[in-house]
Amino acid sequence: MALNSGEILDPRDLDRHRPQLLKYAMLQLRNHAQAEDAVQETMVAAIKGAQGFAGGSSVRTWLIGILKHKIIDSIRKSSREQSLDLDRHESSPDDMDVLFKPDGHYADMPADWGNPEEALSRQRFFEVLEECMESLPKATAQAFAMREVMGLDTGEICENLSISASNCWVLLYRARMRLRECLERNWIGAGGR
Amino acid sequence: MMINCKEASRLLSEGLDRDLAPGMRAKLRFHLFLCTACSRVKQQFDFLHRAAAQYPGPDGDDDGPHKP
Repeated sequence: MALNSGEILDPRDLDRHRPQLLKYAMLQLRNHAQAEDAVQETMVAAIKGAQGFAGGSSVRTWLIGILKHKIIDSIRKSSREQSLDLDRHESSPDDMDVLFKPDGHYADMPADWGNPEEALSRQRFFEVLEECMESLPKATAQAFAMREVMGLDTGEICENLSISASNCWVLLYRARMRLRECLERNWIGAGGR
Repeated sequence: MMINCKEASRLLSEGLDRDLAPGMRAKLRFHLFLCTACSRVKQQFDFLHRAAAQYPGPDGDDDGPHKP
């Protein structure tokens, strides 16, 4: 149930969302200590700013909105302290070659997903998506999460990760190709739709 | 010069992150017109975009589906 604006948030109500927030932060930070810190700071900010909670959206949506900023701060801070260790494998799209025949056609014909929109109302679909995102290499997952989950533009992502624009495009390309393949195998192929 | 599916897949992704040069855009559009595989991949990238924006998905214990 949504709280009306002006109603005081119960800290226990916030705590209920902690596991989900931690998962969200882990997906993007890939570091437990950093993820814990981001969630803790989110909780503190939420309690301090409880009156800023304006009904309408759910508590979880509101908390995730705060968490996004904390995650970006954390990524910025760690990329300032230590430039992202983007190894050769992650910065080159060569690993995509296996998906294609030598003549550039798909090795496996991409399936017809029909109308997949219905999946967006299913919790199970998002669990599969989460597992697929977790299976990506770290920088690839971070770039995808910043672009598509948090909606940043590539300029901001390059800056946050301290990488070049072309590296950024390669990471996003790999992420989309791998996620496409992973969803096809584990959702569409598994009869999820 | 025609592009193949591998090149098209790369342009499909980059087109979501930056403006492609008009020539590239035209080559991609022509390829998509002819190619079922790449048309599917395009739809799937678009779906992935909508799905990721709604992650972590329906909010079961608050007030109904999460709408961004």
